[in-house]
Amino acid sequence: MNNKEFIAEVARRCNYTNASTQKMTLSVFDALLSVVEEDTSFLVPQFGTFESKKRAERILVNPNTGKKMMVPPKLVLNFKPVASFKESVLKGGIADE
Amino acid sequence: MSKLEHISNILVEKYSLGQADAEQFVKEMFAVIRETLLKEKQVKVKGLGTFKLTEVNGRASVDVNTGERIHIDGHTKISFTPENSVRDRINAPFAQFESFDLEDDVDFDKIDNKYSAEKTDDSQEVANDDAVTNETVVNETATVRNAQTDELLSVEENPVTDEAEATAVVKPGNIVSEDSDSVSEEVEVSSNEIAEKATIEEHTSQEESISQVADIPAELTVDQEDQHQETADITENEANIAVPVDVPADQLLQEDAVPVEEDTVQADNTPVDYVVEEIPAADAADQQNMEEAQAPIIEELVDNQYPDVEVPIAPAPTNEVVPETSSQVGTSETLQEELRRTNTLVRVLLIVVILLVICIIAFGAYVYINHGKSTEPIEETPAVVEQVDTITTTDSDETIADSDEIVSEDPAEDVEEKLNPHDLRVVGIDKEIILERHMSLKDIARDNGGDHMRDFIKDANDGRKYFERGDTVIIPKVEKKH
Repeated sequence: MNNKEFIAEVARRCNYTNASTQKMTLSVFDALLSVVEEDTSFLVPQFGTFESKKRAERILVNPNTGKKMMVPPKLVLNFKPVASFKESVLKGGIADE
Repeated sequence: MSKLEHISNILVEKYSLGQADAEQFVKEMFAVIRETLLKEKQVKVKGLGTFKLTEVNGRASVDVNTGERIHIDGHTKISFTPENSVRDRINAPFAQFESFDLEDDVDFDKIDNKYSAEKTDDSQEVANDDAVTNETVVNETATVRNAQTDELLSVEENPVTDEAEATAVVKPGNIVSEDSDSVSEEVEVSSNEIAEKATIEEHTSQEESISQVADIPAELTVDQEDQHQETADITENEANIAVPVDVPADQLLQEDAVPVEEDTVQADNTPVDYVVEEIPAADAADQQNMEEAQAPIIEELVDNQYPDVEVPIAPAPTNEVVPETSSQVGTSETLQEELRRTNTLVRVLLIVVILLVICIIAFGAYVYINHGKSTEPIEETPAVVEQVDTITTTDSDETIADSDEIVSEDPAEDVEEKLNPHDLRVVGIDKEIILERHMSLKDIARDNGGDHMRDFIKDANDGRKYFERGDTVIIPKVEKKH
């Protein structure tokens, strides 16, 4: 499912126009990310946790040239689904096959 | 839940939705993602990223607890990949870091060894300190006495120094609020110490009863209350003490504590010994932490603060203690001494703990205050070390010199310096800042990512090199060329 279909589905369920739904979803995610930026984590009930995690700096070695690269530390957005979501995926995945 | 409400509140404000509708909308959004993910295996959402179901094949593994071979079944995993814009936004605090090539001949073993060697050095020093302490305690006391000249010679003046110091500590307490508690404790403890010392010295000839020992805490509470008030008074008077004053206060207190212990050690040998050993160790640790701020103010304290404080306070503790203790004449000196010894032990330990806490807090405050001016402490340190040398010419000098080395190493700076402006390009405006003081281009660049930013900032601000207070400076956003 791409973004268009996603917006259309949400708009259908909530009875808004596609355009306004798109705007609203963007501002929802914007707000979500700013919470993550501040508090490092955001829990969406029945869905999962968005969390920013620090990846430590590391040294890469190119196997071909033997050159070493220092890769700086970075923050990444991590998503951890809640247990019920995981489980339903497990079942759904099996049922699908 | 409250966070979700926070988001729906934003929707309510922006789009004039009803509260219930907004919440419903947010819930539906995530419900749609969840449900369609089960059906279609992939959901792309603009503004967030892609959710995907990925199959994980079964594999053989070993149970960590039992060591048995087990088989992990294949399953479906939910994976989430943030959009590029989201990824960059989250990483914004670290955005100025770039990966760079390392020279082939960089030998990390050296660095590793150096760090581990430093660690062992430190521990050895502490051990040395411990070992030497018994011999050096006398020397140290002598030195301390010299350093503080007349003040330490008479017992009555001791409380004054202590309180002067303690008051000095109270000042920064206003800034770092946690300080104030520990400070008042410190005042109590130090005054306890001195009061007892006074008692000991003035009444050694008299036989003292156990009840006297029991009374000591009571006396002390009286003292404490008085001294609290006095301290408060002094705080008002001495409004001009510099911020880092609490550090020397700690140091002087420690120095005071040493002679007091020394007295006790001479009187009774075994149990107090290890306490004496602990003090230098704590000294070493403290000085490592605190050396940066202390030296100039020690002199200030001795020279300037002391005379002011002397007059109002000197009589208080001793006068109160003397009449009460002299009235008590008893029998069993040994019991009393034992109790006194344990009291001293507890107090000395208390002092050590409190000093450590204060030192850590003060160091934190110092770091916080100087945050962003990473060059300053390094420049100051040598001078500080010298001044400390003159005041406390003891075996702890080695420690100070050593910790000096540690301070001067700052790996983070190296990483920043190696960013090459030629590899970067401007991709937009990161932010605009309004200066609170006059700043050169270099300073601005340093505060906003590093030296490599200098030219970018200059270009973004029509080639200006100097900025006055209140000027708005555009900080461009740069990115590595691909």
